[in-house]
Amino acid sequence: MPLSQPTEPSRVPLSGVEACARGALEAGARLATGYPGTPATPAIEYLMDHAPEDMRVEWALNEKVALEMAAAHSWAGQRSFVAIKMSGLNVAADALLSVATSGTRGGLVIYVGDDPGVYYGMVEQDSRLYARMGFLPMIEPGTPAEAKEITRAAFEVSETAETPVLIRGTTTTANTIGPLRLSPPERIRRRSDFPFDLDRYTKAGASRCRRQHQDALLRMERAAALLDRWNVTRLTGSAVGVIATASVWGYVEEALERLGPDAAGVNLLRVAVVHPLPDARILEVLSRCRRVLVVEELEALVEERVRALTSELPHPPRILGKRQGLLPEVGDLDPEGVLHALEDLLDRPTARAPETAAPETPRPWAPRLLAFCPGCPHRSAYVALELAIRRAGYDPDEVVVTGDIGCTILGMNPPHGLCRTEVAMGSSIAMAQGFAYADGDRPVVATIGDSTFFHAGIPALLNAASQGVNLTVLVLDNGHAAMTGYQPSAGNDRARHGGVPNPLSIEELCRAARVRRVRKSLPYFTRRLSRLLATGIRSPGLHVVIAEAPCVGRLPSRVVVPYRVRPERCIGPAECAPSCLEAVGCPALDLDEASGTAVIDSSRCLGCGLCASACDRKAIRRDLRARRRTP
Amino acid sequence: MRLNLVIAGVGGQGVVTLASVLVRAAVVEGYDARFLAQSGLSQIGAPVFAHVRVGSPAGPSPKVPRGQAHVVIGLERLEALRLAPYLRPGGTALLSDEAVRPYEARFTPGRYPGRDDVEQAFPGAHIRWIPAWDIALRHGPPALVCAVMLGALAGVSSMVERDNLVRSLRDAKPALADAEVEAFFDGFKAVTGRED
Repeated sequence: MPLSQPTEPSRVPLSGVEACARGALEAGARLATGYPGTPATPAIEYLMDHAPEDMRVEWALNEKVALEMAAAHSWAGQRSFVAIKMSGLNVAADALLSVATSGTRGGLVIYVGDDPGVYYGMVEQDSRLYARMGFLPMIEPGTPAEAKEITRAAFEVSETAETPVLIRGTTTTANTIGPLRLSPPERIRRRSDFPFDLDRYTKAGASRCRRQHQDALLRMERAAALLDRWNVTRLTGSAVGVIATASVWGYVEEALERLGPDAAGVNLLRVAVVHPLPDARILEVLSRCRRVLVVEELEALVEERVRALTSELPHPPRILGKRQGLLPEVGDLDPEGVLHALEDLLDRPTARAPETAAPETPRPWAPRLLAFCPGCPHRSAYVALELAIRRAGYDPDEVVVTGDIGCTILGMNPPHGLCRTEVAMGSSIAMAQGFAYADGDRPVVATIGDSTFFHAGIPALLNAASQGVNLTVLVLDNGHAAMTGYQPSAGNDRARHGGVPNPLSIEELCRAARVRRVRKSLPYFTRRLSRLLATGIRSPGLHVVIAEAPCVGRLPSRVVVPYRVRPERCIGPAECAPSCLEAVGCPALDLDEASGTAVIDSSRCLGCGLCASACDRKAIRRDLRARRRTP
Repeated sequence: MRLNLVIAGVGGQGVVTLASVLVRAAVVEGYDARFLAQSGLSQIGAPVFAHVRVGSPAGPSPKVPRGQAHVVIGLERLEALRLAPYLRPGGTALLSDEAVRPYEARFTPGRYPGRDDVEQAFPGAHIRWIPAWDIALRHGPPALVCAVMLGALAGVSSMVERDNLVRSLRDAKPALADAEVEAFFDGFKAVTGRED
């Protein structure tokens, strides 16, 4: 048997979001940027691994910065690609609307990852509304193969119609991995130049802005006409129809397949260009039908447009969709929901009954709460924070701790139970300031990760510093945006393209902001860290304490000595309260079913020793014989 | 012909690796194949779910419809319970006995499902418990669990040629290739009772 058979090189499995990135690569984009935020993260990650040398790929400090860089790059005549998640589009929205009214020169394609069902957290929002607000064409792919071709086409259209083009991925389309054929990148050699054109690139003057608004609408219409070939209509003699967006088309097809011959004759419209909607195609379907079902995820935007268009018809059909509650406005769709909606459309008896009657046994299983990794520096830092609150003479309930986005928010889960809020990137500091103003008697602590701090925490810190608020900020600096896949933060070495590394210093930034007291500690020294924090909590003014240690997911290779439970000393969590299992919440620390004692998985333990200090019976000791080298 | 497969586990167990090795093998064989990874925050041990569809064509929906999965693979007991609605009557459940207890279940008895709780969730299914963790450790690191389960899958479904699965597995992690293949065949043997 040959070791590896030559696989067909042209068919490679890629996810929908990677396929969009591949499309940008093949379209000859020269700049790709974004900020880590799943489900959009894999686009930039893919390009970091596969981009040709003349394509610059980098993480920006935040999404607004990313979009502005890409817009200017496009205005200079070069193709540019941005990939951000839906919350990131909120951050970039200010620039987005401004860029939209100025248009593009080189192709500018913005991939936005929407997350119906909220698999990755933050607000369940529908970013199609930004396309509407920003006079921008938006197209959504249904399959990975289509995603690549659509992205390539989007660059062409962006240049021809001179408008940015938005591509909307949903978690389902972005994470579906399927085979597609790769092509080499287009060789585009252009000289960069940027014309002096105040009418287009500045916003000074009402007449200028009104004209730009008008131009943006015209560009959007032109782009929609060029993109219209991605919409698909199938007309039949039947009096029923289905209009669905491309991202949920798979469910519609699946339902048609299961409904068999009855459903074969339904009029179909597959909408890929979700803004502006293809009115002519919609009217074509409506004018032939008595009943039309609209299928889309989240907001009923297509449905509303379809309802509005029925007023133009002499015999308007009945429109079925979210208004009747056939499909949800919350969460992602699934094949069953769409099947039942189609059964309603076709007046077929539905098999919905067993769905609700299914015995959903309310067993008392514990919820799977997310926890810090074994050896994570953040766990030690939160343990130190709790210790500090007690040291300062308070009960943890008396102190408001605001949390921020990223791994650091896990301080909300037991055993820590400290963080109370999670609002938006960098919000913890300003939220803390608000709490401090509301109740001046109780201390307030803000916790924030390093990548989040650089993203949007700095303005809030400067604001707090300039007002002299009584506030302690705990910066949990692990050098990475860990939750999205360990992307190095700006405080880390992230030079690419042969650049010189220039890691930024949070400490110096804080000093420049004239923070009253800036201190730094290794979080594993919980007692030292808790002393620094307790001083901050007790004394007036703004204090910043930086707990700095690298993310354990990206540790340099070193020898670790794991801990071991001595079974003869451990009496087990049933007798011991609070046991190490309850007090530490480390995934490497588990219950041994057979003996009823605690047990440590020495292959995962990194030897931080928190569990040993939580054990009163001294049953947890270092195990030199189990020492190993981390990869 | 079509194979619908749903896999559940927690972050770090190799759900996505398992699905992508299978899909690569199926694509080499000329099938239409795809999978949807519902991974959540897998970086920190969150539940991971993968819907795999292989066929010609593979089926339009990215998610396997409920009651339509021919085989489900559970890499962890608590997550395996979520697979139950997907399995079609008479389908096969390949379950690894591995326990990854959530925080509360580690110190509160009765908050984590035992083997019989899981079996009750799959009435009328062919349930095969695979000692995947033990087999994996016999050949190398715990990451080999997904090779074991892939071998077990080859034992119950001949949709994708076993040799193609082995090749795809070797390509996925060349550094561990030999151990992977040994673990694969042990998984195959655990289900079929034969060596080849």
